[in-house]
Amino acid sequence: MADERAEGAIPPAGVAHDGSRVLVGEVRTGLLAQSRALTEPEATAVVALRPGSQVRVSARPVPHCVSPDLTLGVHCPVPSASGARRDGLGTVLSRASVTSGRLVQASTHVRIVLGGARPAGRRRPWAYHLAHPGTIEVGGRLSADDLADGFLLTETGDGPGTTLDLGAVCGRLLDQVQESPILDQKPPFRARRTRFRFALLPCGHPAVGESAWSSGSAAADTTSGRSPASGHVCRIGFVVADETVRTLRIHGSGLDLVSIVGLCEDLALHDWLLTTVQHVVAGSRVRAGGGGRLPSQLTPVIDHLLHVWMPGARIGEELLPVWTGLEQRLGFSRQWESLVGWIRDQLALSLLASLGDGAR
Amino acid sequence: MILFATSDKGGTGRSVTSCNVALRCALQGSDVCYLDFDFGSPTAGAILHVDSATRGITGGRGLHSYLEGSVAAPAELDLWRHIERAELRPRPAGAGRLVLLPGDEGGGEFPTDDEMTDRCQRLLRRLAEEFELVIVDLSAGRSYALQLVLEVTARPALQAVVTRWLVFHRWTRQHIVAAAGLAYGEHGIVDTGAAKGHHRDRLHDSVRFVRTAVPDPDSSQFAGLLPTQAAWLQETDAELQKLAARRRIGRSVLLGSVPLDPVLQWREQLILDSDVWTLRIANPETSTALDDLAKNVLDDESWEGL
Repeated sequence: MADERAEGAIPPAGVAHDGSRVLVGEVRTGLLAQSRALTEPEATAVVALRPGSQVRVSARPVPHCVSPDLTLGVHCPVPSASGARRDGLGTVLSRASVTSGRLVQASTHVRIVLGGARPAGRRRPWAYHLAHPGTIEVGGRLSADDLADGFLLTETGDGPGTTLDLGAVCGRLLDQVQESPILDQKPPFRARRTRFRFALLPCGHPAVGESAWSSGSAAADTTSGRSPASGHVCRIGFVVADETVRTLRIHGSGLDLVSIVGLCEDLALHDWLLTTVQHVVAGSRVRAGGGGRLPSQLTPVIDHLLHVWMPGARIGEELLPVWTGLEQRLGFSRQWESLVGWIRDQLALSLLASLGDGAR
Repeated sequence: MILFATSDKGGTGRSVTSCNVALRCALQGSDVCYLDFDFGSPTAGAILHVDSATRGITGGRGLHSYLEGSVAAPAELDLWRHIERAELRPRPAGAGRLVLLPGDEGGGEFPTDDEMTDRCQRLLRRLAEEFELVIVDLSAGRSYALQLVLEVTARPALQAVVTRWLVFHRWTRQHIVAAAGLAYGEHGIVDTGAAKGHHRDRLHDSVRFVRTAVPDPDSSQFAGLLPTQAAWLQETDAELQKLAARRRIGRSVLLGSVPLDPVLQWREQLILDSDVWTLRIANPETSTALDDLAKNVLDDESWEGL
């Protein structure tokens, strides 16, 4: 967990070196627009977004269906905190998933290759970019930190701008899933969507980082099942930016990008659960005290959400420390247990109250 | 629920009444959002005491820009952080969300195209997913905005979402005739909607009326009237009741009736408890009427088919 800036001899990660790569992405999470939980075949149909491509389904520990990856070609400036305009060209990958037949997520990610070997102004043909899905090449100098700050810290991606807006792509996909004719558009309660932005940066130890990041071809990083031992995480920063925006910044090397995206989706899912249940509980606490009756807002939460909590279920072994670390510092599970305990107590109280009424 | 607020004529108090309804529903714990679809004159910001959006917002992030396709999502202002009224800061305990989607400053009415219809559909469906009550304030009359939302709500993606209509009118002969025309007349809501694929009877059943600036002959306001004046007032009121019934906008489809109140008329802003009880400038009847209207808006029974 050393801060690379403390070591004077080593250039900070901010300095662009050829082939420096940053993974950025956004996950949006919401409640499925359906009155009851979807069955597995229904959930599969909802995320079958590309004809002819398989939906990946897993049943344990919670039912989970993931759409095939969707590719979108982009050619626009990439985000930058300093305001530098650097054009990127390539494709971004998106996918949608349904968890437990109740929760819907869309996630979009891209690996941005900074200051590639090619001279600025010379483009590769589209065929090259199509053969390397999920990669954007940026011409000209741009530091990894500048890019990550621009992506993570910008107030919102909704302003009129021409920079790459992964949130818009992601939101659009979530809308597309929610518009599915299979859904009855009658959710049991209203819940806000959350936005979870993440960035994976090189470690800042050039010797380690370079060797891990530049080995193999561009496509190999996303697909190969490398030995978990080769990857490691130096630092993590998780920020709850406002009511709906969360950001995660990971410095690491040799990590499997697919599992990083999976980790972020899992974190986003549990963060959404926590946020939503917290909101409902806060609302019902204000109105509590109706003669020991269960606040009506709690019923749908008990029905639909309490059993979905299954942290770290789809996380690879090399990333488990990330989850454990966040757990320790932020106490996701502790907060969840306290909320669930409170809800169960309310349930017990209401039961006692109605037993008392019956006896009278 | 998506609630479209419209009126045939301008100056009915449609916007100010709907903003007050939005606030009251949110105070009662519902999550509410308010869309300013009055593109020619987006003044919801002024009514809601949002200084940064009194005539729509600048910077090209309003609803107008979104529908035109120049931004990916329109700006959403959390009103609990933007309302410049001390009584509403911080967010009252137990209140739901209250969000304003303002129009663009300097926008205007515009003809719609297919892509705009798609964007409108996507936006309304998403908001209906996140909010219990979505109030869409349309401009007066048979506007492009009215056409647009009738088109959008007839689409399969929004058919499953509950959509309802509120027609505001003042309590005068001309306003009654005009409001009935807008709802049931030629090129009215039901007519246009049916042509765009709505189920005619269902659409007909989803329209309710709100009377604004209604003088109550029995109120203390009119206590000083001459007997002849009082009699005339009673008589006119009775005639208007009959006219409304003949035009099929009588009591059975009445959702609320807001009394004549100078504060509502002149200030055109939110009426809070402090205006009634501390400052004593607004009438308690106005506040009660707005509360009742808000309650009826959220009560499914008041929207049941006839």
